Amino acid sequence: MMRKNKKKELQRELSRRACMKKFAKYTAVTALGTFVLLSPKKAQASSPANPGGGF
Amino acid sequence: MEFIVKSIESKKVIWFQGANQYLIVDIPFYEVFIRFINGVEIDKLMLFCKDKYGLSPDDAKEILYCSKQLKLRLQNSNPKIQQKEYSKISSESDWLIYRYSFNFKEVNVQFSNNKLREIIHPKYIHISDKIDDNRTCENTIIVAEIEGWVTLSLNDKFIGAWTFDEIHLLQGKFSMVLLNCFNDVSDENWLAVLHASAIYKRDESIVFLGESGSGKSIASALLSVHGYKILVDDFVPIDAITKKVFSFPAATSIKEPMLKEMEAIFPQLGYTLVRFKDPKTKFKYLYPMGWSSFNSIQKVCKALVFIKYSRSGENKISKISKINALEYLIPDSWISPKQENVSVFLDWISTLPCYVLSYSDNEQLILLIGKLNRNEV
Amino acid sequence: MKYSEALFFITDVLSLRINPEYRFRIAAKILGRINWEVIVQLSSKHYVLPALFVRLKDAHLLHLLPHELQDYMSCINSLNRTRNKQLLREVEAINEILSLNNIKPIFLKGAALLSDGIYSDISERMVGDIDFLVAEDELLNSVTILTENGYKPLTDVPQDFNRMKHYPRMVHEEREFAIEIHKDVIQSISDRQLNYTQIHQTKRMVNGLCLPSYSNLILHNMMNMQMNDKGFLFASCNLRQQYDFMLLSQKENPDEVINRFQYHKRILRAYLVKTIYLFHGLKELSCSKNLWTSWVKIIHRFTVYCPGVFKIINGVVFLIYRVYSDCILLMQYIPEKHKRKQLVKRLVDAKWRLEYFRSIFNGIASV
Repeated sequence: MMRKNKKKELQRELSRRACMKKFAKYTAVTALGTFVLLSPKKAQASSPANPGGGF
Repeated sequence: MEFIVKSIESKKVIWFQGANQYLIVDIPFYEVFIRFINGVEIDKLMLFCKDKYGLSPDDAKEILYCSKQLKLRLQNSNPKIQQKEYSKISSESDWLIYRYSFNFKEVNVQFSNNKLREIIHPKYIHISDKIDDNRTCENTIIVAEIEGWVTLSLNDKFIGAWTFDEIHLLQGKFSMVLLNCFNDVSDENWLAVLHASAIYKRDESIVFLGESGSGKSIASALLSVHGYKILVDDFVPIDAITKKVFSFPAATSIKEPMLKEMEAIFPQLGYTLVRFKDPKTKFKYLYPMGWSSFNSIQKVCKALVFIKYSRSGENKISKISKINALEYLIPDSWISPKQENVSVFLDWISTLPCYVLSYSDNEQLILLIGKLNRNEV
Repeated sequence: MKYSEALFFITDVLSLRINPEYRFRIAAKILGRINWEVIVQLSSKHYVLPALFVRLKDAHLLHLLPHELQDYMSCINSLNRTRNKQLLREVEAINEILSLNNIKPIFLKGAALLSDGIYSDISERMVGDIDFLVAEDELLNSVTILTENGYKPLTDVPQDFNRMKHYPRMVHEEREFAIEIHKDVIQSISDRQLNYTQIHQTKRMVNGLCLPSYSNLILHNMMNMQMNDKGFLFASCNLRQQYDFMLLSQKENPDEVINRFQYHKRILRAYLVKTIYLFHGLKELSCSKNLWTSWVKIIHRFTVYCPGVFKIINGVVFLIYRVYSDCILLMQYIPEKHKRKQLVKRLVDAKWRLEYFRSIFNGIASV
């Protein structure tokens, strides 16, 4: 019974440590922020429009 | 690796000359990336990542690998798209020839067939005269169809060729060539050309940006009968030295479903031809009648306004971050790839107020723009 | 781009939901060489393209994709959002109709997960039809009520439909989604399975709808794939199911769920191992390490890195399985005269024979 309790306690501790490790990793990496890569238009363009006749 | 760095709000904006791309990045990642591209040794970088951000070696390796891939992407110049090239294209007797007059300048414009004329010319009818001969003119633009390609030349110099699928690129380039002819300048003199509409009152202009169909042109047209004047529609050039918004004499396009409502305000729309953006979408051109239709006008830009019309939406105007504005603006605009101009462009944006305006009611639009004009936002 | 690279790219992107710090790793991959055609093909095959879009969007990585691809994925995502909004409306309607007749349906699978709000965006999940569970003695009554409300079976109802876990699929002229009324969740092999009583006893009410507990959702997810879809037999993967499992694993520890469940531990643990192997984000999830789990891991490594060879082996396995199950069926037919006549009638029909061989061929191709 004691062994079972100790095993459960150990499992809980490992799980807690894993959680904390994961949280630390999460906060460290996400603290770096994001980046966005944007390209301007290669040429001046007007709004796309197909020609059509009038009536 | 040539690049420019600017601080805008809480981020860094880096422009890379080789790829002509903008990287908007949070400062912590920037600190790592800039050291990487400046050649700091990997070991020192790993230590930096550990000391400053508490990154494990594995995480630091991931960040550095990402930086490496990013650097590779940014180092490579954009591959030049193989384009068709044609030597001198001469006009023929049955071509359609017009004289476009603006800002005391005249430009001969020649179309090899009716189809091409219908694509380009309707926007400029109000500044054109049809002529029968190819009288000498300072500038001559030729738009000709050759072997299924639509070619553009200026003064016998070949500029480009496009397929009919890329026709909006031809239209944009045509507008640019015409703009340069009317102002005696070249592409280098422009900071950017925004896909936008602009109005002005007294000495200041307001530029409306938004997706196709968001209501930029309609907003400009509505405001033009409430004390403002249309500066330019769909093609907004910004001068590189003065940073002023320049006028350009292209007509404003008014699309369905606003046609009927606008015909009530602009009776002249009732006499103009209906045209088709696509088989389902009708539109008409509203031709400018004021001074800006004959003479070049330049106005200082007061603000960028991202506009959105929605029938059942709310009416409000609020400030948005310049970073958000840039994220929208960059992919939708032509920005000069010249280093000096990029620096000026980024400085200009960082000082320019940017707003988002949503409206469902025309009266509210007028009120909100009035508020903006009076600096009450 | 290799199959394994494509597969792990997709699972890494999906893992962003629970591991947003993978962003830089994925950005690096995108900036490198990605064959987007392969990615789109594979993620579409597994019905996870909308989930991929949402994960990339949330991680601010969409801008790195080619513009046409962004537009395409956005379009698919938008269509799926509209479809799922309709699904939620139809789920409510079915719940109301049956509740008025004192039947409380317990929604399952995609319908349950969407109603539960487990996804960050309802457009993430692709759902085929609406599955729900009722007590065995309420099945026919439910069918009658829904028939009166416009639903009808898609195919002829076989006489022995009671052997099946659900009533044949029903459709409605004016509704988007077909429905499957379950009396069991697993195609029965014995009582050693997740049954109505267990699900009913621990059900939860979410916005007026009955949903299984997270434990039972996890169990159903695992057993559905491993047993109904023969995932255990063919060592196959189903990214949509496994993505659901990944999300559910954040609500309850699957290893503990398996430990509490009396049956099929090997099969369920095999599912846990293969999902942890595929989804790196789950690597901190606990899973007992023994010979069995190590063996499962080796098999799945093989399926990922040698997909061609694995497909051939699976084809052979399918053939053997098919022959075995057809022999069992034959044994059931032979003793009864009318069934023997029916069998002979089918065997002499060239059309039937063609369909039979076609089904075998399609089965081999699908594994």
